[in-house]
Amino acid sequence: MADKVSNVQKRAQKVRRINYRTILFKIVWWLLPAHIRSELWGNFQQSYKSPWHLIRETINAIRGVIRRQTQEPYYPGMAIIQMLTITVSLLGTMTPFRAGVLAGAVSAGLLVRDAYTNPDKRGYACFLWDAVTAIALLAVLQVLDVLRPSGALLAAFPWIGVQSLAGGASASFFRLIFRMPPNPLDRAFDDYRVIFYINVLWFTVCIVLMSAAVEAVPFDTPGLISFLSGAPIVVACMLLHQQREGLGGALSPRLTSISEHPVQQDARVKNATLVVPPETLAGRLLEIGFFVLLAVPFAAALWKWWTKQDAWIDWYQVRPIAGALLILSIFWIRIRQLNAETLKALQKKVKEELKALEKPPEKKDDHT
Amino acid sequence: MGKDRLADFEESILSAIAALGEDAYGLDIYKKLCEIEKKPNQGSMYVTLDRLERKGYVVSRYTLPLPERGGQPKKLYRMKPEGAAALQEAFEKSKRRIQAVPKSFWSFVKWPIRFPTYRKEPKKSDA
Repeated sequence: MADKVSNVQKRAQKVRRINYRTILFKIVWWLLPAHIRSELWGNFQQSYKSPWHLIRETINAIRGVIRRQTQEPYYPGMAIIQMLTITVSLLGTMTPFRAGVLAGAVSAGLLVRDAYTNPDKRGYACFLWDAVTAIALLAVLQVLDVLRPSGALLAAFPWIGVQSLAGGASASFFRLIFRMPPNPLDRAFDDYRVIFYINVLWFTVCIVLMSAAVEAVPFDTPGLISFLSGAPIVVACMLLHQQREGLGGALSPRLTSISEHPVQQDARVKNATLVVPPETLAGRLLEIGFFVLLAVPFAAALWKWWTKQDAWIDWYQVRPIAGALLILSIFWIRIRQLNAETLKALQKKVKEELKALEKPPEKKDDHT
Repeated sequence: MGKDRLADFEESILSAIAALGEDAYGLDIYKKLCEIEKKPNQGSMYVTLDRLERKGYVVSRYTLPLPERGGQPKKLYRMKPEGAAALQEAFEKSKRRIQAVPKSFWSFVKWPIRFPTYRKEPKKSDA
């Protein structure tokens, strides 16, 4: 019994003693880029001299990875455009210098992200995470910036959200153009889910910015604000409905059929979730209608400015929102093309699977 | 694959792998690289090795986990014929570059090169 107690005490003493070396090892392991972690960690273990040596080697290795990964010829151009886009989105509420500093911090965060991304796995998913990183970094940095002088955080939340979405999403769409994966058609089927999320992100940013624009340009007509906020959602749903055969559109319940192959059914459902260039006149009109609706608040703001009734218009908000919506509208052409490529790849895959089903199973020779 | 031109650092890494022969592993390549390059970086080296693998110049395989490497396996690299051809092409280009410069140039030039400076001649009246 006495032995047992002493063992427990010994164990407790061991737990209390902090092993700094283990903590350092864990931090270093966590800091190393995942795609070369195993090799670097093995080398560090083999050539370990002291904790300081390990820290120095880790910093050097990370510096080298960042430098080498961002050495592509397109990188400087992309970094400048992304910084300018973010700076412009922040100019509504900040001085150019502060906006530039914040944009620089976000760009530095994205640069580190680029360095840590495995080049083999670079695809549309990376773009999605670029957008999430940029928006989150912008939001956090702005919150910290607001907290510093006054503490009026609640009042600042709406414009922080709007500026983060406008700057982060626009910069990420630019990144998508610079860092397009080499064979989009080959990877389109695997990337379906990510491309769907890109569509959702694009649409969500448009709707949020539209709502913010409606708030920034006050309307006197009752019900117009609700109409302008809700109409783009309705139009987008109608656009998706155009692509679906039968009733219910993309949101209809998924019915299982015994006369159709499951892969074919799955492809049909996916076909209704991505908007492709419309072939019918109604589809084209709906698409144009969506963008016309997005432009209404800005047209109203211009009209009020022309007739000198713009006293209540928040121009600091209207300008970056208009810029971001313009950028997003231009990117719609690319996203639509991406959707069409994805669906094409999907159909190809369905054909392959159906052809494989038609083939008789190969006979195996039994040498028993 | 394997039609891109080799960058300087890529050339150095391929040379190191060529010097080590079959199944060269990271730390050995790094040590060899220290003889070729000024202050090479392990992080840069692995990123470039990955790039060379994607280009189809080298091929890699893992060994079993080793206790001396903290339970991590060794990643062994081997050069592919495409890599050897690219390295040969780079060497021949360097050779042509060296041959293009006449030997007399090296004996003539004294380092560091000093360009003739313009000296103001003293005025005759001063003399």
